[in-house]
Amino acid sequence: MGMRILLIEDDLVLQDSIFELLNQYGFVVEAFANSKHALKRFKEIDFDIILCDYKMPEMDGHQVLKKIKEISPKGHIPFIMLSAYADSKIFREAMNLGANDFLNKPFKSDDLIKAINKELEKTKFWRLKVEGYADFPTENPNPIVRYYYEQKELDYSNPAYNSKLKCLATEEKNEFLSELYACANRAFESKSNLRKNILMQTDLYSVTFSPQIKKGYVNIYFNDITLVKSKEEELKNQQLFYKELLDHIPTDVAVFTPDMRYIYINPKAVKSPEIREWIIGKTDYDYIDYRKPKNTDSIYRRIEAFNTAKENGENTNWIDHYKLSDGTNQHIMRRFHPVYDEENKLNFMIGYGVEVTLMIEAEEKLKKSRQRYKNLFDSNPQMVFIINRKGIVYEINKAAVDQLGYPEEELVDQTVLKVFPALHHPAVLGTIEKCFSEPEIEHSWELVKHKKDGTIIDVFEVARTIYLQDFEEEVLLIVCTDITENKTNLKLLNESSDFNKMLLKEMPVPVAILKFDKFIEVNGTFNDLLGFTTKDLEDTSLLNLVLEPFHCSLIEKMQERYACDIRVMECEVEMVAKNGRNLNILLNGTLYEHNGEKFTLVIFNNITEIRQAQLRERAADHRSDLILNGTLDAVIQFDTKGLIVDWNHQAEKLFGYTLKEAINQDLGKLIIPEKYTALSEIGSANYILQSITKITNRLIDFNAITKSGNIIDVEIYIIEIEVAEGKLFTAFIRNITDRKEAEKQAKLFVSELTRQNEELRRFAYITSHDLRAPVINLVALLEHYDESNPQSELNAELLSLFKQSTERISNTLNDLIEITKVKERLKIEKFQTCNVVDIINDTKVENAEMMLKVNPKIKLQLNGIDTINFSLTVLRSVFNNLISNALKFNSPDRPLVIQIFVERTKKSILISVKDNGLGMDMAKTENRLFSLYQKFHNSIDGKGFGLYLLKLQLEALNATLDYSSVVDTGSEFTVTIPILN
Amino acid sequence: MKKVLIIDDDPVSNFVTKLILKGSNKADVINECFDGQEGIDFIKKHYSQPDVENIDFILLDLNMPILDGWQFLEEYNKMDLHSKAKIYILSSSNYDEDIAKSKEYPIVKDYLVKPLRKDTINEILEN
Repeated sequence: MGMRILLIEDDLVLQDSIFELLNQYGFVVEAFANSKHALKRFKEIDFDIILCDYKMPEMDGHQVLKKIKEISPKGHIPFIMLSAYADSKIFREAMNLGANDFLNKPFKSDDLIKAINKELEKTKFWRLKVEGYADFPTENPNPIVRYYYEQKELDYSNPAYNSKLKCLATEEKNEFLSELYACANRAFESKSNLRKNILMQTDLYSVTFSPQIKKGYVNIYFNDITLVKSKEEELKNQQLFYKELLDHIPTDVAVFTPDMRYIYINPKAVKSPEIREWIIGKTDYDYIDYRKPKNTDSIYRRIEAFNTAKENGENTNWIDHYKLSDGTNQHIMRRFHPVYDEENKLNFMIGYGVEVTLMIEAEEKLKKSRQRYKNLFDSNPQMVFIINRKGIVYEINKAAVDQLGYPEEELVDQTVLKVFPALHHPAVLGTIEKCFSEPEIEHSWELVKHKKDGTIIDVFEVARTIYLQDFEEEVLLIVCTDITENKTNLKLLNESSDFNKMLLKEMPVPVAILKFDKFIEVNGTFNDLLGFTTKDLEDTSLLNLVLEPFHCSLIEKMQERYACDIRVMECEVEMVAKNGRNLNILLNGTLYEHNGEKFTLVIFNNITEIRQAQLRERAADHRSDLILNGTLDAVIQFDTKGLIVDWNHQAEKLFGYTLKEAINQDLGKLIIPEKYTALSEIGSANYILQSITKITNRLIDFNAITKSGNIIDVEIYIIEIEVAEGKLFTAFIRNITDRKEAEKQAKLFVSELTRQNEELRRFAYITSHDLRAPVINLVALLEHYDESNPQSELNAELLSLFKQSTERISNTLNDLIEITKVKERLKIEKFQTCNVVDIINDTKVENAEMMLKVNPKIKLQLNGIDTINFSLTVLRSVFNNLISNALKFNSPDRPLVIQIFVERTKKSILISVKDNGLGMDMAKTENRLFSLYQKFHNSIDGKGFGLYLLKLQLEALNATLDYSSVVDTGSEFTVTIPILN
Repeated sequence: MKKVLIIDDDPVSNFVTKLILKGSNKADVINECFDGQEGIDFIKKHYSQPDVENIDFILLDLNMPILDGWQFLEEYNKMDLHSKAKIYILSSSNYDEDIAKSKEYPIVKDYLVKPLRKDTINEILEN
């Protein structure tokens, strides 16, 4: 049967031609010009496809489409829109409403037929599928059931459904069925498919309710998704787990598509979450375009590495170096790791970055230490050989080349036998073999060696087997010492003990024989040099004669020598001779064995003269430097009348006058300040100059004046020269203003330091006394405590005293803390404008009780100084201490008068507080008045704390506190505050 | 019985000293003065007459108000007395400079660092 087509087209000519065309293709077409009529017809019969014009009167294409969807919401009837308007808006709207295709008029007949066929194919495909399922419901392993809407009952069910339902308990069954019915009803009423997840026993089903309106029933398909769901959950969890893992991995991780688009990048690699999100799906090129980074080197390196990894199909590594903002280096090893799918196609690429800074730095250090080893090796004064098992020389040092006389290339890679006489070859090979067979032992031997020039030397060799990574094999490290001379000496020494003794005695160099560090014997020359005889030094350590600063290095050398069996030791020390003189001595020790015991023969080279000469040389250098610097002096020549003859560049610079200005001027008038010439008895600058010239060839300091009127300190040195015209004087003048200033500063600094030291010492003395005394009391009291009779009267008294002492300790500690606090506070103390009258009034209020009791007369003389720029805290403390002291120490014999006097001098402000109270005997108070815990009036309560603290505060701010006092007359305290510039 | 004068401003320390002296059964504490001036005044008042038997020992503290131990020594030296007491400095200070300074006064027999011990006092009283 032909397909039914509903054609809605108001253009009758076009309608006709389409009608004709479709008829030809065997379609059954019903055509309408009026869309309402068309819709009416659509409700009556089923059509297979709808063709509809867009632009129509009454209803346009969109409205028709909407109506059709309303009439048949679940319908799959293809809808093709025809329009003369190639307008994208219309097109989009149509597609949104559910149109299947859109043809622009005019269209070719072919296009129309093709479009229709395409849509029909699709529908047919779906229909076949649905029908196919419907044909095999019984065999379907998933439950299927049919529900009749009118009857409200299930009609058909397949075996899968039945068996499932059987498993349900009645109650469960009812619950399940009521839910099933409700859903089916809803689907039918809404005329559209409904999907719902329903739990049946332990299994979860995705249930589809498919209403068949015309047939009056709903097909219900069950789909077991238990596994799917749990798999889904699992997968989701897994994904989350890996995502989190990646996010937190402490290395950089990024995943790329084969064309290097980012799929994933972790927060370690890119901190900003915005960029992390932005970059997904983009490439590094996009990044460069977007961010415009300054340094693109590392990015291009990455792109290159990516391509290499992709081409070669294997991991590609490279290292990025960064300089961090704190100056340290960072090295990151990066790797691209390609991942392939089952068909061996590149699936994606993973990029890692691991920080390898430590590794790289360690490697660099190793390199350096290798270099150092190389240097040590080369600079070793003993010959060093590295040879292998076969006796082939791998490396030798410079000493070996120098001492043996062979050029390096004649030894390296050659057999070591070359340097031994043929006679010894078997022995040498045997020894080498022995060394390798007992690698844990250090071997030493004495041998003879050939030099290039044919002479034979005695050598002492120490060999150790080591594993050198560079060679990847065990090698023998041989340290070789030329002992030809020692050998000869020792041979002689060994031959006869008498001869030995004689030789030692007669040796023209100071020599001693030691066992370990103890003297055994010394010779006469030693006695001459250091004044000690063998008897003096019996059982004495060498260290006793060596100044302490050298002990360490000497002991180290001696131990090293015994431990490593190195025969020769050299060490420079300072020693004390018997007469107390210090000498610089170069110790030269040689180890030798006698009857199995080890002795050291030490030669004492006196290098005192050399060292002193070196010192003198250094001093001389220093002097010549000074002389060189001396050329920076101003040089002035003048005649016997004091008139300037010559005036050099430095003089111009120093005094400001040019040569032209200075020449023929009276030197005295020019550079000596008027005030001195005025003070001088004769009153003439020339006179002063004359007196200066009398003392030629001596350095004199005096004040000079420059052209700009600055007074400078200068040092003058005058020499007299005889010339044809008579006498001339040359003066070398140097500006020492800076030096003088520095000297002055240094003096000030030293005196301040001395004062602070003294203060510290006094503080330590007093506080230690005041803390010690009560502690000692506690100890003494405890000793007398009678434990056998705790209730005794004595014990009661002891306990009360015990309490007193403890309180005293606590109080003293509190005071100390207070002092520390005050000191700390002074560090941050700021100066401000302090109103004197305000402070005095505050003080009166603070001491109100005493003020009322004593009722003093306070006389104030400010001399116009209402305010003082100083620390407010300290100034308050000044008035509070001094006024309260005056109140405290008033005399009962007369009414108290306190005079406060403020005055300004050139450099400071003076504040004095004077009273007519008890006064003190200054001879007795001495310097104790301002010390901690000093009291001078027994009857009056006071701790001896206030004045100490006040003095401390004032001195910290460069102010001073002084006093004068007469017994029974009164005291006067004066505070001097320096005026700041 | 020896006559002992204590000059010390620390009542607790004095208590202990008196306890030990009493325990020795060889000494009488004739007075305790709380500063150097008080000590001088006491001696002037009671012991400056030629016919009065003098004090045997003075235990002298250093750190005291008004007149400290050193100042007391100066004043005591100047006094015209029939015979002078043996002076022992009894101080909590173990500073070397204090000990050295005490040696400058021939009148000072010894320098004792507090606390006072029974053995020490017995030794002093027996000699």
